[in-house]
Amino acid sequence: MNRLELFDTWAPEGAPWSLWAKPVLFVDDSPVPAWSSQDWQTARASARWTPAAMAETVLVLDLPGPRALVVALECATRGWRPVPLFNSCRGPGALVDNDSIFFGLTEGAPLLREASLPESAPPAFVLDSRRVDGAPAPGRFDNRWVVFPQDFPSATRLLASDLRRVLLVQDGRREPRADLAHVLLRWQRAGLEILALDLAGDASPAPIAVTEPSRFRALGYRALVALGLRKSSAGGFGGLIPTPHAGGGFA
Amino acid sequence: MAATESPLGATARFTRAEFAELRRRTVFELGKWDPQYEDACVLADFAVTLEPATWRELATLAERLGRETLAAERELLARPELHARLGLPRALRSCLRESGTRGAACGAARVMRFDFHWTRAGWRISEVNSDVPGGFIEASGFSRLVAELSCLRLVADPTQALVEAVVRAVGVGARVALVHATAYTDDRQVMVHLARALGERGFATGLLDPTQVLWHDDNASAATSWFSGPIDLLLRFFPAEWLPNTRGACDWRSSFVGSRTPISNPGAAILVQSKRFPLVWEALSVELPTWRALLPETRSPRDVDWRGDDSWILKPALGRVGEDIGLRSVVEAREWKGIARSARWWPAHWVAQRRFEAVALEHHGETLYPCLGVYVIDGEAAGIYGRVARRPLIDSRSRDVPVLLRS
Repeated sequence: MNRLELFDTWAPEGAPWSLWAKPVLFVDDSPVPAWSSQDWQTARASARWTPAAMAETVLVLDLPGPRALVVALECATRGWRPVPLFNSCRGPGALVDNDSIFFGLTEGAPLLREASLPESAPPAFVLDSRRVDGAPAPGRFDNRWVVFPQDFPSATRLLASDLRRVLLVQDGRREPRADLAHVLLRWQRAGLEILALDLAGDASPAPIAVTEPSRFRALGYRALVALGLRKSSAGGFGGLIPTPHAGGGFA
Repeated sequence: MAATESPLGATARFTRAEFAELRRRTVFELGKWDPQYEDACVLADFAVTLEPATWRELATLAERLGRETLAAERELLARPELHARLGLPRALRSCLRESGTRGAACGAARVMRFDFHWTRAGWRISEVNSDVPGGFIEASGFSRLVAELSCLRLVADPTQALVEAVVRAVGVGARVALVHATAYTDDRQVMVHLARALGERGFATGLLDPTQVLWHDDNASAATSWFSGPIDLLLRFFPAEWLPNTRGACDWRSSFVGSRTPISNPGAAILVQSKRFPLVWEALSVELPTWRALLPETRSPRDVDWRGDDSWILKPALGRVGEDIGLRSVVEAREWKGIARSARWWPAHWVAQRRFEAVALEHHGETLYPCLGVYVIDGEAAGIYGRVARRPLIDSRSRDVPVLLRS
């Protein structure tokens, strides 16, 4: 299966939610290191979660990359269309291991085909919860990433498709990560119900009220986030944001 | 031709199958990784067209603007007392002052892009992107695919023009580092696109973040596992005003002053990138007739009644991609409120500019506002990055549209 065929499997032409699938991992034709299969096999062997049937529900799977894919494939058997949103490159010295995700995309493709999902299948957006892990160091490729509201459909688009509920699935937490909170709060304020499930603890999904994240709808939010990513890095690649709102260093 | 008769036309919409194929090829062959923005595809399903004479007119204007811009940049480098009026961060002003003793960083393969709009008064420009202009994938690759499909002609190829400018600067086979925010895939895709084009011409390329550029005696080098050794040319796609945020992690100042390694573009480009550049025109000796003719009146927000007069719009001094532009009747009320508050509190970091009345393109029942970003590379007009918006504001929600010659 070549890269294009692989992408077509995960984001088939005609399926409405395919438009949001991120192509970046699919376009890279560099070889995958042999060890990248280990994380995928480990994730496949770990405890699984199979969602109960839930009408009118969008899934957001924010789990460690390979596990997110394993869960996404389980969701496919229950009728959800996995939409991979991995927006990051592979490369030497990468902070975020995308090789194991790419391996999972390849290995999981036949399973996804078997699911024979209809075009109308509701979406399960798949994220890697490790996306902001790690700290830059000399000689490392900083490929960490965050999600932005524009990476997802709007609430209007979801509601127009009779999707009225969002189930956020995480491992070890119920509150959404800060970047995702920017998305979920917009959806919640537009009338979508937000449920959360912690695979490490909860027995069943429960509604949450998304709290307003820092700089919600702030001017220049995107640039602020880009620099914020750097701000937490070892070695200080970051710091104050050069906008009038940030004060110091800009007067 | 009356000024209201637009020199711009449009092709018919591509069929659904044609457009799906175009989108797919743009992603997989050209490496555009961000074709979707919320609910919309950012690629237009048609092309804007113009006559060769219109392109020649735009090219002439852009080349004049390019010459004037470089002359102004040179003078501004020697006039540090004007830098505060440009709204530059203190760290940059302090650094640029050193150019008097260390000398300005060596520039090469200079790239800038002027954003043209057709208005009731003829051509107007809204800004120059003189620091890190993007759009190469769309202006070169996507436009070429559409040209082949439509049997129209590309005006010019900015990617190839940049590659040839690098050839002239350092010769074929040199080592080129492409410096960018590596965590940002929409920046990285531009660097991958340019690296591929440079590689095809025989250059050795490395994709680096600014902290991975090492400086010794004002010469750049790298020591990563994927790119190591001296660097012959730096191709920078990391905004100049972000560089001070690297702080102690690298010698960011060398991108502004001292560097003997040629940089495309050197940090001093930020002097003319600032939207407050027109506020220092009267203090410059350099003549700027084309700028004066094409840029709408631009003033400090302190000096005009932008609150009571909707003919003024607000722009952040160092804004990019149309972000945070305040057109009261166009942006959402909440957004306008935030912009207005910021301009009131920090007027030195904003400008007020007269709004121009862009002539819309009516296309299949849609009212569209085109913006033609004309590249000038090494002094020569080198292509067009076209965008269209459903409102008279070009920002991240705009669609990329090929701009092609009719004959």
